[in-house]
Amino acid sequence: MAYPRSDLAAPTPTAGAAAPTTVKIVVAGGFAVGKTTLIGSISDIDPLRTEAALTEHSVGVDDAGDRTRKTETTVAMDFGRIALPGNLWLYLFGTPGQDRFLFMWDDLVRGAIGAVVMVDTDRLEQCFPAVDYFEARQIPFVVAVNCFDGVAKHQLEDVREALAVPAHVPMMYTDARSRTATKQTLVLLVQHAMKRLAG
Amino acid sequence: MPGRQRAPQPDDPGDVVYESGTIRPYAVTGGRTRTKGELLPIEALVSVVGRPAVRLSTEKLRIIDLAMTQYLSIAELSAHMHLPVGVVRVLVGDLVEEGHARVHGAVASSYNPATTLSVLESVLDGISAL
Repeated sequence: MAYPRSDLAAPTPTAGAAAPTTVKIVVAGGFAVGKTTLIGSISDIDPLRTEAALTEHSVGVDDAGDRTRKTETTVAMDFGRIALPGNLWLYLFGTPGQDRFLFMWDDLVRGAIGAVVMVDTDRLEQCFPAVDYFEARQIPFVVAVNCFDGVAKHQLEDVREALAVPAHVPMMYTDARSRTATKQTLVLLVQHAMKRLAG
Repeated sequence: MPGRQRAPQPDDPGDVVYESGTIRPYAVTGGRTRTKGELLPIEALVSVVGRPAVRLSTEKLRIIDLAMTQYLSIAELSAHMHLPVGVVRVLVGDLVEEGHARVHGAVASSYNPATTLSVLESVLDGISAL
C-alpha cells in the first residue's frame, strides 16, 4: 500500500482489558472501483485479504448420472480496522463486486451499520447489483462516486437518475485515496443509518 | 449513462465454479463446514483463555498463538492463517467448546451494536474526530 498509516497500533492484551465492541461497514462496488484504496486510506492496519470459501450444493451430471455434488469457490475480500474511542473497533469490509457472489453477502452484511456503494461513472453498471441488493434488504447505504484524478465527470443528480435510487439515499463525490474524503463518506453513512434508526 | 433496471431478488447463487487452485481447506476441520450454535460473525473477536496443556492441531495452536496477546476477529485470523473464513469459524467454534478460547461480540444474543443508537453516536463522533 502506498499510503502512510500507523502500522504500530499496540496490541491489546486480552487479559484485564474488556473486549472491544465491534461494528462493521461494508464497502461495495465493481471491480477496481477503489474499495481497497478507500479502506486503506483510513484503516489502522494495512488492509488484509481473506478468503471466503463458498460451498454450494449444485446439481451436476457425471458418469454416474444425475447427482447432487458440492462445488467450491473462493472469493477474496479485503478489509481494514479502525480503533475508535469508547473501546470500539470499526471494521471495513470490501465486498466482491461480481453479482454472482451476491448470495454470500448475507453472511457478511448481517449486523452491519450499512454500506458504501462505490461508483465509477465510466462503468456505472458494475454497481447495479450492490444497489439492488442493499435496496432489497433495506440496508442503509450511501452512494459514493469515486472521482479518479479528482475529476467529477457527471452531476450527482444524473448519477442518481441513472441508478434509480430514491432521493433519501445520500450521494456524494469521494476520493478513495483521501483520508478526509473517506472520513466524510463514512460520516454520511453513519448519519444516514442513525436517521433510519430514529425514523 | 446506461440506467439501472430493477433487478429480481438477488438470491440466485448463479454459476459457482470450482477453482482448481483451492486446496481442500476443510480437511483441517474434518470436512465440517459448520459448527454447533450460531454462525459467528466475521467481526466477532476471539481471545484465548490460556495456553492449553493438551495437544491441539497445528491450526488450532496457530489461533492460540495469534490471539494470545490481542483480540483478533475471525476475519483477521483467516487472513493471517491464509485459511477461509468458514474454516476459521469451525476451528474457533471447537476451541470455544473445548474451553480454550472465548468469542466476543453479538453472539447468540439479540443485541446488535449496529442498531444501537448510542453505539452509532460513538462511531460517528469517533470517525469525525479522526
